[in-house]
Amino acid sequence: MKGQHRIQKLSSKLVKVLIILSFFFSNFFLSAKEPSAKNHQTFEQKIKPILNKYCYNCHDEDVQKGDLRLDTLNFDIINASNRDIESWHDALNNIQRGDMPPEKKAQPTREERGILVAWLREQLEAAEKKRHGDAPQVTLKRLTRYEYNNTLQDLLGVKMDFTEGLPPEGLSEEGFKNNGQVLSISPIQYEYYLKLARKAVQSVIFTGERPEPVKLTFEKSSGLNFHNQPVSRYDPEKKLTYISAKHFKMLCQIPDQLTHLYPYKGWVRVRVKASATVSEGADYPAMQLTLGCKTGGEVEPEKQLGEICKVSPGEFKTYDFVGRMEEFPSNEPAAEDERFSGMIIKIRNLFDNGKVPQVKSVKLTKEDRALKKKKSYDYSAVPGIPEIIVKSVEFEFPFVETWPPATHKKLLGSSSEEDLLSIQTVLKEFMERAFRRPVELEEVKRFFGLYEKIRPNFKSYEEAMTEVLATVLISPEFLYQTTFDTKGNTALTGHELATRLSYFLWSTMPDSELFDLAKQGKLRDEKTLRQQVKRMIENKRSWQFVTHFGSQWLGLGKIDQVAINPLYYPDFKDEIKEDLKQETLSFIGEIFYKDMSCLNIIDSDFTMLNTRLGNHYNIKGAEGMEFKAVKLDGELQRGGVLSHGSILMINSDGEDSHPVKRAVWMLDSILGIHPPNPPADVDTALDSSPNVVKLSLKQQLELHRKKEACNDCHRKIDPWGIAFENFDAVGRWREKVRRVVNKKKSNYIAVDSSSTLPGGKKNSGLQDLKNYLLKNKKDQFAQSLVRKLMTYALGRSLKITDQDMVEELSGKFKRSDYKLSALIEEIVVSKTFLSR
Amino acid sequence: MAEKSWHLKRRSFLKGAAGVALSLPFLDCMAKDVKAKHAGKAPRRFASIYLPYGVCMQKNEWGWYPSDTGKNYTFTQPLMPLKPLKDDMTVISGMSHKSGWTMGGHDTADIFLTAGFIKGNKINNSISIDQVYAHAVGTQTRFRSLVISTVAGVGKVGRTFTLSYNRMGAPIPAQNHPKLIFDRLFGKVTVAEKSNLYNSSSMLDTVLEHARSTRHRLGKSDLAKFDEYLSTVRDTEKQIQRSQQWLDKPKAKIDENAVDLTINEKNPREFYRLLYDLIFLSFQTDSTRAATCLLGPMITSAMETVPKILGISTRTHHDLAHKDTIEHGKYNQFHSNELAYFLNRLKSTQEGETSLLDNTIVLYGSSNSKTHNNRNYPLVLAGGKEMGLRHGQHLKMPGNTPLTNLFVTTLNRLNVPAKSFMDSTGELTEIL
Repeated sequence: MKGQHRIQKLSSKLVKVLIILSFFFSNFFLSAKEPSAKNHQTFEQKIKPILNKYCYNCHDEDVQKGDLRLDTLNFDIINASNRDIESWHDALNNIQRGDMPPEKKAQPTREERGILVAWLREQLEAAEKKRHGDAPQVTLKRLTRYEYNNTLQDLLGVKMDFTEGLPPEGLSEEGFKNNGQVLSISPIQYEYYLKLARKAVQSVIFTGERPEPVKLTFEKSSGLNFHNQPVSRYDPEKKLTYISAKHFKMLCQIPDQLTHLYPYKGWVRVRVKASATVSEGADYPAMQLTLGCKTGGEVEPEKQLGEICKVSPGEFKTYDFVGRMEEFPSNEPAAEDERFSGMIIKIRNLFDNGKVPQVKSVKLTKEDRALKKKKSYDYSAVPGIPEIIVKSVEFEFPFVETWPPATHKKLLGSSSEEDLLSIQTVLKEFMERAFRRPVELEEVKRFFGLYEKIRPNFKSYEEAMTEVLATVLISPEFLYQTTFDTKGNTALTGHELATRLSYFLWSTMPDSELFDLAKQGKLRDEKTLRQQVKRMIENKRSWQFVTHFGSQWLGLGKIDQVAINPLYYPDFKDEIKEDLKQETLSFIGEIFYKDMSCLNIIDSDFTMLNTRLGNHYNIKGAEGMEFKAVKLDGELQRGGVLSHGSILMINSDGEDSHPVKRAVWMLDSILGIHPPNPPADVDTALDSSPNVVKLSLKQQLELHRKKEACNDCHRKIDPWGIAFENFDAVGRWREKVRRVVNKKKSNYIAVDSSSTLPGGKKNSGLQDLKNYLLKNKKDQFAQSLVRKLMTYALGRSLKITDQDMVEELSGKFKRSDYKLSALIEEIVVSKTFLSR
Repeated sequence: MAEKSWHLKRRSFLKGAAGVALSLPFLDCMAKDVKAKHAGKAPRRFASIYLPYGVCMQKNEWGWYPSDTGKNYTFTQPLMPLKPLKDDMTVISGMSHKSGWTMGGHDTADIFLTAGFIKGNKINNSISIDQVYAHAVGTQTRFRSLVISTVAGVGKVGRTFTLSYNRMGAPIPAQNHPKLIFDRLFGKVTVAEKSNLYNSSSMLDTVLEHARSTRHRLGKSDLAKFDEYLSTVRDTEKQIQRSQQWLDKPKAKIDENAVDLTINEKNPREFYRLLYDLIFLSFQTDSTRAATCLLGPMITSAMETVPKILGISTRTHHDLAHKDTIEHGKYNQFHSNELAYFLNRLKSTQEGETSLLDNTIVLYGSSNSKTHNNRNYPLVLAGGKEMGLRHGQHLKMPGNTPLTNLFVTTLNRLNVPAKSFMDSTGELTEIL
């Protein structure tokens, strides 16, 4: 809050400094270079008359609408200052789109517009080439936090969390996390890289004898939880435990007298024999298993072990939960000989259709009192809610399948201390996979030198190797996507291409097939490349692309930052936020994997729902906890992402809709237009006097637009946002806007979602808007999506010299009937993607 | 109309910075080298001790807050053990963190030293004042800071086990086992510790050598980013060298028999004293200059039953705080008594012309007045006279003065130039 203001103040100072600097430099360049006579002539004869006729009226010495003055901009664009170039670029965008001159002003003829646009593009492209030549932008790209984590997991073959201590990424101006220019590094962060590198390698290298595992079997809940919290129902005759709903759990306490069990790294396996009772037509229950510790208080830190799984009825089946002991909360050992302080396994039934009743306490029975229970609960089955039936729970740690474990063998092979060459071979193979390129003997020798230097510090060869391999993992070519400059040749090598492709679609390092193709020099072959793209999309790792591109493009990360006011939405639970995010991501996934037209993103005849979210929206047809496509009745107005709760929520204030945010989001994410920030000296707040607060937001915005300073931009923004007014802050349909006065009293104002769009189209609400977009803005949406996807694929901002490629790809996208997979393929085989 | 590129840059600066910069209340003071200002003078220390669940609010002699203000205030029963130390301390009321007002009634220990905000899914904690100080002077002592508590670890959000938070706003795990704390401070340097650091040095040498050989293969446009990496590695190397220097120096020698390290929470009075002793020893030997101690988490833990063990009440601490009877005041008095023990130990230790207490600022208190009320924190500020603090009064600040004003003053007194801290509105000049 306060901090934010401080940063804003700071940045406005920064902006002032930049303005002063750029003024200085623009004068400097003006005096330094005289425009060529030809440019001068063209401008005076062809361009200036058009500007004079249509533009200068609002952008000259007397009036500077939108803070823009055109008549003093350097018309010799090739030699102009950065600031002037940006202004010309803005002008080009506006003229091309037809946003300028404004609809009420005199319009240039088609021919005049064409002359102006052609001149501006030619000049701007020349300016860009002059400044940067054809040289690439920053291609050195630090791995993002999730890329780093995925890469380590794939490199070592171990699913553990390697993100501790790493800072979250900053967002680029386009909202992406993978922009090489923005991604930076700091000493504290580097210390964490060192720590994580050691942790990662240590987790797969084992020394010593095969450990003797401890095995424990539980056949019922072991005792009560702290505070006598509900556990689960036990049938002593059948010796079965019934977990009836999500408040209940089976609880197995691993006693603390086991010595030498902790701290020991390694795999832990819990094996559950279970069945379920499921009523006709209902979904199976979902079993979650957590492992945690006792702290001596009510806090029992726990973490999920393995994956949540569906339990099927009928015969008892075995469900395995496997993980790494190091990942689970534990008590710090008090002394070196005091090793293990006990752990707790909890098994829950996560089934949730939004109708699971609250846990009910019942009168204490004799048995309860004998057990010193303070409370007893109704553990009986609830009609319609499936139960998990547990027969036994087996705990095994350390869980060893082979010794040494497969991941250890994969890393160190059959190398041994006596055979120095074998150590170099191990190093070479590891470095090539970690650096994602072939390495030279000299490079291997350098790391081998480190091994020889530190070997005397360790008891075993393996321990010394751990440190050497960790050193590879803090080297630049592991932490960064790196391309080398091969004198004048801007084409990526096969390995560089494999890397770029793999981080684009999988957010991780290339797999062996990509590496092999790179090594054989086949990857740059267009046919092979297209086949690889298809293969990669079919691989489930491409879900990484859906998640990261989807949420960064649409800004879904913001959903956690919206605090929903319980006064407005008393029954809203934060877990719905996760469902809302999943709805949008699985919607994008459905379009992607089923190869549907991307126009579905604007409007569709289906959406993705699970039961809980269906209940939230009050839409029927979703059964179960997984997200499935549900056919929509047209009247619901739920097609496309515009009416997704996620989008509606991130563009709300947690109480009411926020039409301006919604409009800006729509313009930016769907149409690729970035409305300018409000001028620094304008009061942006809506009037909060009592008379105004009584009005609907639409009316308040009308008042706002009466302010001269606001009207210019807001008449182009507000009407889009007003179309969304029938949806509240949590994404539900509404006919009335609620204004809470206090806990007991609320005022209601009727929703009015009608507006007049820029260009004069009367719009009656969100469905009308979707129809309008599909009819009139298809090309603009397509080009906007192409730009977003290219920006993400390349990990850099686009330049004006990329515009030709954007248009070419937009054409292909359109001809493919707006298929995302086709667009991805075309991007990958494009010259832009294949070059530095 | 589209945006100008410098607009965008500002925006991306904001976006990029938001995650990081917001959790750094004031970068400007962190990098300052305060070494020079310390030359020839005794080191300055900071300790903060947190009392869970607030204090007795009864309108009688067992209420914690003195009813009168100024120099001639009357000591209430809960504060009575501190009376002999009157000239070394100030009782402060009326201050709080605004961010905590709307937080849960038991959640604010998390933000006592940070002024951050946590509620539901909104977790926005930031660096704590002790860590700001540790950043400034941490390299001058063997340990950057000492973070202890009656329960080990970090607990969970809203039920913290630690008072200290790093620059990312992440909790720093507290130690609670006397033997482990003592070993870390004064025990032998382990072989693993040593070889780890020496190896790190060789590892970074190799990385730098390798990186230099890679540099010439990069394109021009990548060099700036690559050099950012190189300088980061060099900075890390320097940091490791500094740590190595500490390894070569022997730890302060304290006879293990000077303290009974087998004491645990079953003897609460002795246990609390032991925790205070460990802070005292770490300061006396200049092993660290920043320490925090949580006297009990805001959950049911072993420390809950202390009032029972001490025979003060039949209720648990939590229960006492909710019922707010005279017994709660009696329990507060017990804690004041232990605080007095700590302050007296500091005071009776000479440091040149002055005492250890004069070179230590101690902030004691709670972020509840009574339990579930997150305003008007009960606070005792003690020591630091050598740094210019003036004591002897009950200072009642006008309602809801930001506690961060006291943080700003504290940091400046510790020679860490600070203009602001989170929501601060200025300095607390009343104690100068």
